[in-house]
Amino acid sequence: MNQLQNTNYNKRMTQNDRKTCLILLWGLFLCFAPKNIFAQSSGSLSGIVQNALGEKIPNASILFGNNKYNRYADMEGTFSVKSIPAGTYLISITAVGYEEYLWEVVVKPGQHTEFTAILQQHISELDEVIVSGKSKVQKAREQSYQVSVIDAKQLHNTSLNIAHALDNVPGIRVRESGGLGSDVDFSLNGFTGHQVKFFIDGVPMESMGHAFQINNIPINLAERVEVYKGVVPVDLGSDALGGAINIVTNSGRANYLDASYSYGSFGTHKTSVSLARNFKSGFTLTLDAYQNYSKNNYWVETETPVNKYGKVEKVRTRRFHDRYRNEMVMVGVGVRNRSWADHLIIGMDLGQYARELQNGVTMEDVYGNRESKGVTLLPSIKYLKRDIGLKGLDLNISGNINLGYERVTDTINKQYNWLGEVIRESDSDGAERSRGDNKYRNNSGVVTANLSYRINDKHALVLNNNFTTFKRVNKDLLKETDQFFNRPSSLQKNVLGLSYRYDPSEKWNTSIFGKYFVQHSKSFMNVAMAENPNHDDYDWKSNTFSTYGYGFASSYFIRKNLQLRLSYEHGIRVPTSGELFGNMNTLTGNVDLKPESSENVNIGIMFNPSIKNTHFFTFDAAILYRYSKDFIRTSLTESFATTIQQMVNLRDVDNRGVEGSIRYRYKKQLNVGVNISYQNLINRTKYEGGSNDIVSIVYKDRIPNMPYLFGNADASYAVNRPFGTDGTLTIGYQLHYVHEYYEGWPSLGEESTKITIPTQWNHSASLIYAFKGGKYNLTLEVLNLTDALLYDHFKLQKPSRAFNLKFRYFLFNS
Amino acid sequence: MKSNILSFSLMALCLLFLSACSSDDGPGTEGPENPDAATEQFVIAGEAATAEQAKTYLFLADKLDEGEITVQGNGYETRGSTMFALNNKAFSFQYNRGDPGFTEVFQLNQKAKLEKVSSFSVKSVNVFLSYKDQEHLLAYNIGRALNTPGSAYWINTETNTVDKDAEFDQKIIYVDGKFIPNYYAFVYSFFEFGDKIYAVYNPRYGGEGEQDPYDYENRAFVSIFDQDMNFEKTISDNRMPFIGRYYNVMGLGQDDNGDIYAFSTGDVESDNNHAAFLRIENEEFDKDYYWDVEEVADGMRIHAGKHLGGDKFILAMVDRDEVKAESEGAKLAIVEAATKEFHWVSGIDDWIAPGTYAFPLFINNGKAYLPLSLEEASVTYLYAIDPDNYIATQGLKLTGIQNISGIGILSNETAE
Repeated sequence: MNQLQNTNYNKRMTQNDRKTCLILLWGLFLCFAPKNIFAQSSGSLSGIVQNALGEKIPNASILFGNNKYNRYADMEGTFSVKSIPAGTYLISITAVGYEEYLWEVVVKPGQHTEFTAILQQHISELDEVIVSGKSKVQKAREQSYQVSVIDAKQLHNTSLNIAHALDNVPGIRVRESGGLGSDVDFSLNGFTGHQVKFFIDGVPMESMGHAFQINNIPINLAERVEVYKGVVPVDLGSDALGGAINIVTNSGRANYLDASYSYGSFGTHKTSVSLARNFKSGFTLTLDAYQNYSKNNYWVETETPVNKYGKVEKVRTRRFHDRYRNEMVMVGVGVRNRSWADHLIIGMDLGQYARELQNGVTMEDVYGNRESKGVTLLPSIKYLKRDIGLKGLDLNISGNINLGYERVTDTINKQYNWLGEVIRESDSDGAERSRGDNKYRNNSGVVTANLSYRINDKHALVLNNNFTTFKRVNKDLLKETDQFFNRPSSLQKNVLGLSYRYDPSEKWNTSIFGKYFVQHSKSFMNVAMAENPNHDDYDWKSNTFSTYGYGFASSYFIRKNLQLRLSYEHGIRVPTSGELFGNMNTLTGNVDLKPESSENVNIGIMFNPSIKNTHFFTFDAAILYRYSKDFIRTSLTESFATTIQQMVNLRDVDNRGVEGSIRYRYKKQLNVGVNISYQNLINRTKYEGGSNDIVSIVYKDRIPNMPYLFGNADASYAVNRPFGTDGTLTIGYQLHYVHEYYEGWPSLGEESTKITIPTQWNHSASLIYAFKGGKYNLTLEVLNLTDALLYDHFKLQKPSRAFNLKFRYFLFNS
Repeated sequence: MKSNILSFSLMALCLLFLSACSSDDGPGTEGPENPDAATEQFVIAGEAATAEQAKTYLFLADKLDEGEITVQGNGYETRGSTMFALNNKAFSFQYNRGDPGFTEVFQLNQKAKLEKVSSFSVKSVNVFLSYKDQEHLLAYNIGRALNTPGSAYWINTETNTVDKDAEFDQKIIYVDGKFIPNYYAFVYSFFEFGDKIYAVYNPRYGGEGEQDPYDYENRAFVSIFDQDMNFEKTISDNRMPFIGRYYNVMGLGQDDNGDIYAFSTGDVESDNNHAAFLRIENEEFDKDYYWDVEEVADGMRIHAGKHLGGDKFILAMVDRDEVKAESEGAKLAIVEAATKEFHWVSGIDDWIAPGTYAFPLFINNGKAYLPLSLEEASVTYLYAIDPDNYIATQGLKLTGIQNISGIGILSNETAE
């Protein structure tokens, strides 16, 4: 088992496979088919590092004893040495959480040696906690950042999506407006909306469309999810005020098939299929497809009008217009291990969604016809070349463009109640909320180029450039409104980042970095700032600005299992096109907006003691400080001539927060964890009403409508061979807790009358039976076990008790 | 194996226990009632003076002429915006950008505290008319496109429910009897005069067909309806621009002789854009009456105005020059429309802020109260206006409160 093997899986490739790959990539082959020629005195070497399950281990260190040939495996576990003198080498392969592996290899002149290293998991790291600090090598190498990592593989048997998985991370609250496919409000240490940026494999997700969103991507698509708090590495090139989430996909495994289907309450069906084939010829194929469908007809308890005169009664009823479905197919084809590319992958993501809209911002607004739908059409390209010209100089380029659209339809003039009855209808033009049938093309493209240079063991440089272009075209399909104003707005943004990393010793490392932002945007806007603008009040206006951010991150190991982290960033979030230029309806533009900025400081400590290799503990604690300025908020500006609504730099906020988690594991059987987050977001805007005004009544008050105390707990207990023969049965329990908070400013109004989002206790439980070495997995989940009324927003109920049954088939073929 | 089964059972028990423990806090019950004699309180609806999550609070006050109230730790928090008090009830209307929102109804309980007694659902309403008999409140949702009708609801103040409703065609723009097809009435206010309902509005282009260079804004329009809002006719006059202003019932007033006076803010770019008054007699504009207020007001135009009673109106005047208007603020004036008399109001030397939605005039025992924000934007004062001596006296101070959207009076006499 614990051996290095010559890879020979390619021999099993069938005739059909060859045909497929030839058809798909014949063009590329014709153009670039390489001929490797080796000098007589030296040979070449390449390999894949993976674990016993066949999962690729990223960033493993490949040490030859001679620095010149030392390598790190890439994110997909592969490495290569193009030219190495013939001879015998003792190679040491190490990776976080795995035992060191030693291999003696004989390199023969003019020959290529290829192998697969299968690393054995380190006992103390087995069954690593769901949310854990990164492990040692990565800690030492890069994770001086305040980062939490979700090991998504541990969750592949659950029916979670990415958003739900993130909800377990300290400092994160995911607030949903309803069931599957509903709106998600994400907050990380008090930063929300555009202030936190999402990436998939390092590529910004900003405009991939609603068909591909954190709350519909199944967890099975991810290998892990990295949460950067306060400080965002330059590799993730974007303007994020204080955090970024990077979803790292499964793309590493050589050949595998992971297929799952789940069925649950409220007519919920979810399917996900991922497969990858890598052929000896270097041809590679990945396919990820998933589907979500739900009627979302869960029970709600609410007040509703029962007749057209608006008489209100309390009812318990099922949701009736909340169907959601989305389908997504992502295909990648390409080549690996060419002289001109370590990989070149061309991808196409196709997706669509359709969503019935059941209610407005509170459940007082019920709809029976409003809906939205959208299509994502996203071609992409990924290119990686290592040792380009210089050893240790790697170039990584990726790009994509979304050609899809979204459509919102509201044309039926009827008013529904929660019983699904029409209580008012009319033949005249009208709508349930706001009449329209609009098709938006938010066509955005992104190109990310990353050049990294590992000068030697102690010094490394990364240069990253991220260019985004965005154009929004709105088409009024009803042709009822004046189309004069309706002209496409556009935006180009470039983020250039440079970081330098210094590792003076195994114990200590530091990175410093700087980022430079440039943005140009253009729109047809109400330049006269008129209250009810007419044609003459409109003209083209453009805006260009540049700004910069900087920071550092440092990490020190006091003992082998005790790490200290300190990081700081001057974070920047540049205004969006909508904030700068407003919209054609209610919002007037404000091209004078400044970027939001924030000073973020994080201090973290992590301690991983163990007792006699049976009791394992992880203590992770962090304190954070944020001083954020110029938060962009909507404001009504009144003058004697006009009243306009526009975005302004209004709010200064500071946040002193603490987060802590404790985890305990007994052998491989019992796993218990608890974490808690407290964030004290305080308003620091002293004057809101101009220089003559009194000190703001909410100065030093807690920021409203934001959870400030929340936590999670979980426990799981595994039983081996529960039925005498094979497999593992795991019983699990999870709790989410959110302390009550006010929707409005806490200090205002009489306490007993305040609009309150009550304390939430959300319990869930699961039974997972994995057998045949993890090939078959059967899961039963009960969500919202106690059938509690759960709210993330005032009067917006989340799903009642739900049962899910999931079957997963996982086949790995090395 | 046995130990495994045991562990299972233990886990299952734990889960059951935890689920049973989830607490459910019911609302606290009120203590024993101690009925006092009937009390009367003023109710004031105002918004917290902050840009974010600025909720509307209902405040109680014993007096309007003096004292201070604050929003800090005080006031009933609502999601509403506009408040009307009628028949000892306070109706707090939500404005939800077209969504139907619940209107909450409050009363004064035996302890002289506000108590929510009922709620009902109507589409977001932005125009109101309190009928003089106090039995009904008309609430109206403006249709914001040519073919989108408005919705009218008659709220019964006894039962706290809607008695009837109607759709209302806003394509009522006529000039000299000729229908103007591409325009609709963006209704600002309704008034009850005798057995008729009068509407004032801004004419709006519907985005189709022929467009007038002034969009008919250089014309004063009034449409007349019966009590059930059946359209009767539209009268218009080209001597002054359109009448009224968005929100807070302004533009018309009837004197004791039954004559109706109408004013225009003159806030349009046109040849006739003077702030002025016209008179309506027998449902027609009186050709013999025109009063250019701007001429006697040092060139200032009307920013907002309310009918005080008789032929008297209180007006907030501002300079035509926007920069000057901002720096000098508004000046209050009282006019007598019949005799064309104009008087500056004394008593306020401070800069007066441009209240946009806040100009609700409350009349009690012959005194008129007007909320005004001065240089401190987060503070509002109620000014008591003496219409005979043209003097304003600073009264109740409302700290941290802006955009007063209603003032009324509540008695717990009828509370159960």
